[in-house]
Amino acid sequence: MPPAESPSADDTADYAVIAQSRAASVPRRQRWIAFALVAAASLAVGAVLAAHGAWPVLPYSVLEVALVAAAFALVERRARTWERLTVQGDRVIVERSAGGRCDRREFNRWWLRVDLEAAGRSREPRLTLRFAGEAMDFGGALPPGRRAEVARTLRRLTAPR
Amino acid sequence: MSSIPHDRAAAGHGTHDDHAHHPTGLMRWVTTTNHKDIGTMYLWFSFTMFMVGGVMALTIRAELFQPGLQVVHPEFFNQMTTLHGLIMVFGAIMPAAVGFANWMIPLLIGAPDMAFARMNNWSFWLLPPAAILLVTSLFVPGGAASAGWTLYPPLTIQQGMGMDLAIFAVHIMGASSIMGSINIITTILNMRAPGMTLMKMPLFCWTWLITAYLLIAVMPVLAGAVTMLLTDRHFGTSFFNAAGGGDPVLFQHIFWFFGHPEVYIIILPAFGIVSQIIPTFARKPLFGYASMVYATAGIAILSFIVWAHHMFTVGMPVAGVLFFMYATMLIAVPTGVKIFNWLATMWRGAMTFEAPMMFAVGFLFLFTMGGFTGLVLAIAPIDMQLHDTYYVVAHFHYVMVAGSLFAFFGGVYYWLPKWTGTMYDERIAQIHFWTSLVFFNVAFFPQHFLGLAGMPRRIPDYAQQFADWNMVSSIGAFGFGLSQLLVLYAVVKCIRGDGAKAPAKPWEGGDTLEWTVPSPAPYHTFETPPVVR
Repeated sequence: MPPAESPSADDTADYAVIAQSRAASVPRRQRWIAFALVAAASLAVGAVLAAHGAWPVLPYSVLEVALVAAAFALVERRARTWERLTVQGDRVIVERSAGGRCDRREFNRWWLRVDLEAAGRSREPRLTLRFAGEAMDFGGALPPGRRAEVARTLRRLTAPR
Repeated sequence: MSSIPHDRAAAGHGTHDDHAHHPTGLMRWVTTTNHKDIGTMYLWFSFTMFMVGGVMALTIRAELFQPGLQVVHPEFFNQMTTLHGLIMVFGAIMPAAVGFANWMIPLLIGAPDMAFARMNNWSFWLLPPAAILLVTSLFVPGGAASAGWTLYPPLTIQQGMGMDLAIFAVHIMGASSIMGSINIITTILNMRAPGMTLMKMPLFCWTWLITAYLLIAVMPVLAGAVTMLLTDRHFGTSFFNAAGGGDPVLFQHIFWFFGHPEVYIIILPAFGIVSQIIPTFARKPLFGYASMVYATAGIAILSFIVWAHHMFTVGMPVAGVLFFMYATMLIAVPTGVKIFNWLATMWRGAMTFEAPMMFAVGFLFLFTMGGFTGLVLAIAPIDMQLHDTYYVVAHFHYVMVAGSLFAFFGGVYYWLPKWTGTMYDERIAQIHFWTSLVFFNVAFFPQHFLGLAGMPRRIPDYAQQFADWNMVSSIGAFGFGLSQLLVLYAVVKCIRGDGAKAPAKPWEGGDTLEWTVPSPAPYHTFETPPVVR
């Protein structure tokens, strides 16, 4: 199983796509140090003002720090979330890592159906892999244009010979 | 073996212009999560509010054209001064800065979009309802808030429904700012292109990162302050009501603890824009990059310990007055570092003076003047004489208008070719610059004389002795207001494609990432992260 962060493509594969949000330009420790700086400043201001009688500032500080924490946690999760699709021999392998958990599915290359639901007015195109009555979305982190491109390539590679 | 190349994640084309996949029509703007669309909406919103606030300013100047009461009632005059301040600060300048951030930060750091694209959409769409609340408060019984943009009690506690609407509007705009800041911090920290270390980031990103930290630190203070006003007004509390044992001066401390960093929230993004423009047109790297970063951080930190210089006259202990006086003067040091670094960047540069550079140089000249008058006001004994006079009005307009606004105009002309794909009309832009420069000084320089002579601010009528300079100031204000139609004309011309086609890099000296994508910037950019060396 590949590591939770920074997946790599398999050089022996016929085709490989890795879909990962861009959210990892700082290491985890630095990210949380940056959060601590924000939180400390905001909470310290709220606490000092509360001590001087202006206590309604403090709940706003707490609420805001909670929002920032949620945003940082989400970024953290994104940094550890990726999907990898590999076409190798007769198999199509889809691996996913989300929130530290990895799972892996294998499909028969020649029985796999690739659907691309067109973009709507305010909806991005959706790439779905179908196999034996099951459906699985892939490439949520890919830009819409890339999703269409990947769908075209996959259709070509999985077309019956 | 693989005959088909592997491709990575965000792989694809660096500048994927996938028009088939972005919505069109009105819903494009309502539902968009694209940073360029949202940046555009912020900038148009800001310009609209600039015009609304500008009309209010001209109403004020029309009344002050001559002594006596000619144009509006004094109550309405007070509403105009209050709404003009609130609209310009929260509706025009701050959204303009966020608009630049939305458009340019992803392009400058090589990111495909902002970190939280949907939240970005919400933070914009909170603004129009807030603006509507502020403007429509003019039509409720009792009229709009008229206690000044600083909302000092006890006046605020005594006013009508317009004050509640203003408080609600400020709350909403504050929430929008917090969401915007969270987005900017997470984007800059986490979505930089490979190789773009923090100390390689364009200075605009640094100034915005620090601004976002400031916003997060002080916005709860504003929210708390206006909540206390609201509960004092309607729920029987006495935070600021002396009759119930409260302290109106506490509000001033709280407000200015927010309000002074707010000044830097307004000016730091402008510093960032100027720091992009000057090296480009001097064709030299920015002098003293690291010292610019540290100076920006220094200004931000110092902004938390100077708030009481706005209230030297409330009766503080002498030790407090001295502390705030010296701390305020200390800010001149990092600000001076920046000014000298910009000058050193220009020194022996192969300079040309297209409109962005003209506005940057104009900014440098006029902001320095505003800084100097700030130093004058930092000296407590002088401030006690000049407090609440037109000298203060002149000072902060030199900082906010000739500072932030000039830098923003520079930024608009600088990045307009990238935004629209069309070169702006240089002649119009130069006329816009020169008329703005001249009329701005005609409007605001005489206000120093008026203040030194003792004319109080926020009055609809004045003694005969102030008549001449007020007339000059009003002429300047109308000239300045009309000049701003030129920027609208220049921008609309570009949007209509009426002009030379802009190349990817219209400025020879531009060396940041935005110039590596075509003009106009495609809807999706940097889907493949660029590698920065």
